[in-house]
Amino acid sequence: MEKINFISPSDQSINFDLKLSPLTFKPTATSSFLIKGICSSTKKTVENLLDLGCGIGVVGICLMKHKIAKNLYASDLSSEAVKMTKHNCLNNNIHVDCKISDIFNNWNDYKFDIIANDISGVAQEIASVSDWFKNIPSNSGPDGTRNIISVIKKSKNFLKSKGVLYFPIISLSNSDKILDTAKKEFKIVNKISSNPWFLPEEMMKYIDLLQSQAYKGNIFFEQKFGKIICYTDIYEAKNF
Amino acid sequence: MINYDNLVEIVEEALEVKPGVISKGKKSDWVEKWDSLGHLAILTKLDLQLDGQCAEITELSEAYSIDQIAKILRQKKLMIE
Repeated sequence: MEKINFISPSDQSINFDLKLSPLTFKPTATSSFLIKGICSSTKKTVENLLDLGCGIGVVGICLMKHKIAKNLYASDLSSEAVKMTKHNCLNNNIHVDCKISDIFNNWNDYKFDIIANDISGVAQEIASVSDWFKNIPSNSGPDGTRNIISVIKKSKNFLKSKGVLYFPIISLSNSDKILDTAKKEFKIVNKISSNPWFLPEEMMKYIDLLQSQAYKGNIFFEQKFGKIICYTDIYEAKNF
Repeated sequence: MINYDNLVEIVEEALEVKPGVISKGKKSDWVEKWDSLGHLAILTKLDLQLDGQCAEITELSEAYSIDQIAKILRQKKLMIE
C-alpha cells in the first residue's frame, strides 16, 4: 500500500505518514488550503472537531497535530475511506470516532465546535473528462453544487451555538450559488483565503467545454500567463 | 518598473519565507516551496505589483527561477537593468 509523508501547510515542522488507498482520494490541494485556513483562523483549542468527507483522514489528523481540537470525529460515504482514516489515526496515535455517513446522516445528536468540510465538487461535465475522480463517484450535479449546498444547509443543526463551519468553494462549480446559500443559512460568512491554481495541461484540450460551462455560469476561470487559472476559496460560516 | 531586489522580495512574499532567505539563505530553505502553487503565487503578486502588465506574458508560466523571470521582465521593459 502506498505511503506518503504529509507536511502541514501551516507549519513545516509538523509532518506525518499516511497510507493511501486507490479507492479513496489522495490528499489534494483543497485539503491543504482547508487546513491552512482553519489553522490561521482558530485561536484556541476547541472540544469537538468533525472532519466531514475525511478521505484518508488528512485534514482531521493534521488539525489534531496542530491542537485545534481535543476530540476528533470523522466520516465519509466510502467504507474504504473510513477504514483508512481509522488506520491512519491509529498510526499517528490520534483517537477518532469515525463512521460511514452520507453527509450528516449518522451524526444525529452530535454537536461540533468546528466542522471541517472537505466535500466539494466540480461541474459534472468537467468532472467526467478529468482524471480527478478515477475509481471515485462524482455526483455533485451539473454545476458542482449539489453536495456542498447540502452540507451548508444541514450543518447549522450540527454546530454548537459558537460553532464554525469551514468549507471550500472551487471555481469549477457555481461559486455564486454556493455562497448565496451560505449567506442565507448563516449570519456571518467570511472568505478566509483565495488560492489560485493552474488547471492541469491535460485539461487544456477541453477549452471549448470549459468556455461553454463558464458561459452557462456553472464555472469560473481566468486566462493569464498563457494558462487557465482556477481558484479554491476557503470560507468560514457562523451564527454568532 | 521593478528592480532585481524588488523581484526577490516579491518571490519571498509569495513563497511565504522570511525576508532575506533567498538572497542570504540556503536554496534548500525555500526551493521546495516553489511548486506549481508557489509559482502561480509569484506570478500573481508580480502581476499585481506591475499593474496587470504580466498577465499576457505567456513565457512567465515556464520561468522557474528568479533569473529566468528577471530576464523576461527586462526583455519586456518591466525591470530596471
